Amino acid sequence: MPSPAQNTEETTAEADRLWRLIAGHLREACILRRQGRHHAAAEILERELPPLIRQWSTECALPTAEAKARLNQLFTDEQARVESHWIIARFLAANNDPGNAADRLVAFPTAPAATPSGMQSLFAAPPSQATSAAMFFPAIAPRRIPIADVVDMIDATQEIARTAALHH
Amino acid sequence: MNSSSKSAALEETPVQTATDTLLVGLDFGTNTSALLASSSKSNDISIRELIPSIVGYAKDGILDGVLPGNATVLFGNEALKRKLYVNLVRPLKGGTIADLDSARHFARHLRSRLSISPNTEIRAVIGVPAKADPSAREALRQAVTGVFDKVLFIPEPFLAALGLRDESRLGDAGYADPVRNSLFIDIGGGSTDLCLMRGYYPQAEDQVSTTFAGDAIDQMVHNAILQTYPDCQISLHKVCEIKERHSFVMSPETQVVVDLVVAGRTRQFDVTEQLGAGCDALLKHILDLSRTLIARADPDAVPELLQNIVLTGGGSLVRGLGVALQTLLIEDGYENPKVSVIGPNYKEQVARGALKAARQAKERQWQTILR
Repeated sequence: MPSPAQNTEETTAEADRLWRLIAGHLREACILRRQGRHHAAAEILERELPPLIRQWSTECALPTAEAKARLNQLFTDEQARVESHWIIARFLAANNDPGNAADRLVAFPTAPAATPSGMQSLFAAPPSQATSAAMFFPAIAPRRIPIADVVDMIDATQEIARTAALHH
Repeated sequence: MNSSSKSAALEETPVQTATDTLLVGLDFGTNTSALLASSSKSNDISIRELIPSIVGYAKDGILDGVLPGNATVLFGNEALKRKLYVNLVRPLKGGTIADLDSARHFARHLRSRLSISPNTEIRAVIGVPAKADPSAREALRQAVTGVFDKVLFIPEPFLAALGLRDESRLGDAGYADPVRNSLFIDIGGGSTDLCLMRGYYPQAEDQVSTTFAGDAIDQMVHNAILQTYPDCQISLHKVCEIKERHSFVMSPETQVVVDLVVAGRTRQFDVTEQLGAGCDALLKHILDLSRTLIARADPDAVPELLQNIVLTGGGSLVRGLGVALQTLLIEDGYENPKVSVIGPNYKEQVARGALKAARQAKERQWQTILR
């Protein structure tokens, strides 16, 4: 029978393995979405990721709030990483072949109704005046946030600042 | 500018292990900065300061004893009082960092006002202008690097909304929640921002802005004075002083006659017309933008909204501005509007909102910066 210490180590190793899988799947989904392969991206987001996240949540034994925060951070980081690489790729493509560069960009779809709530942010909001203005006016709240919800307001502020930095 | 004194003031602060946390709310303003601080373990505000955002660098060759303690750098009112002997630099223009070195000096001066014990971690929530782009935020981050341990940058309209509300009185029948249904008109140095407050943080459709604000009035009045009196010597700083003392809309209480220098001799000039034209232009801008925003409000909410039009920021101190706006709205057909003036306290409202945000921010939300 394994000792408690061994059990802990195995649990940590398994949680790490699952975490890497989640990160990899997430990155893949972001890239697929950028390539316009929305069905393939949705397949990962809706079918493959949720069971992995459930398993990881069990294995990592973190308090729910902390686990959620880590996942949210991972989503944000991976999204930013892919976006950043995509901008570089777009820049290089524009330099090589300016005429076609714009055509290679794929518009982001809106989130399907069945998308898990934690993954809604992977999809862009539908084009609107507010969305386009938000890139230039970082003080605009992206959604209705009650004055009393300071934590959500700070999250939204940071989300907008990150988006603005990516587009800058 | 004295570069050796600048580099001396930028020496690094040694790394400390924190045992206590000081929370700071800061409005790093173009003209004035508001600083509030409180221990994380207490609700009492330990530091409350309004400081003109200006740095004075000692001019080369200043005699010993002219500046207090033979200082090479002075800040705020101290710098303004001795403007003949220092080169005055405003770190910010239009709400964003315009001179990084002086901004860093000023930020360090603000830190020196905190009078903290050695092992205290300082966490600051800092207001940023509504339209601060990533480079403006980066410049601000650089300015406070080495000054605070952890920071959060939050748009000023959000902090103002938070700061204006007195949560402890929300249950009082007699308390009118200032952010439930109101129109805020903030007239700053670099911009005039109008914002509908409807119980939530402002969104795109809730805000309109114009760059016609305090600095633009100064420039307009400056040009008009020089056009009328081409021989007189007057700086923008002097125009700003005249405006802060004598500004008015509609009609003046008395003629505005000021002393100006012509070829080294002081003479008196009547600048009533020039000053009035600049301030009336501001009134016209805020009237037009108010109409725009009121039209966007829910029709059912408009009667209550018209009762809660609030003028804030330094520009709100233009004499008669509130009454004039109210009169013009009535003439325009709006039913029983009521305009009130918060005035200079607005700066503190942003800082107060920042301090509230600092108290409620989650650990994961703080951004660590190197000391």
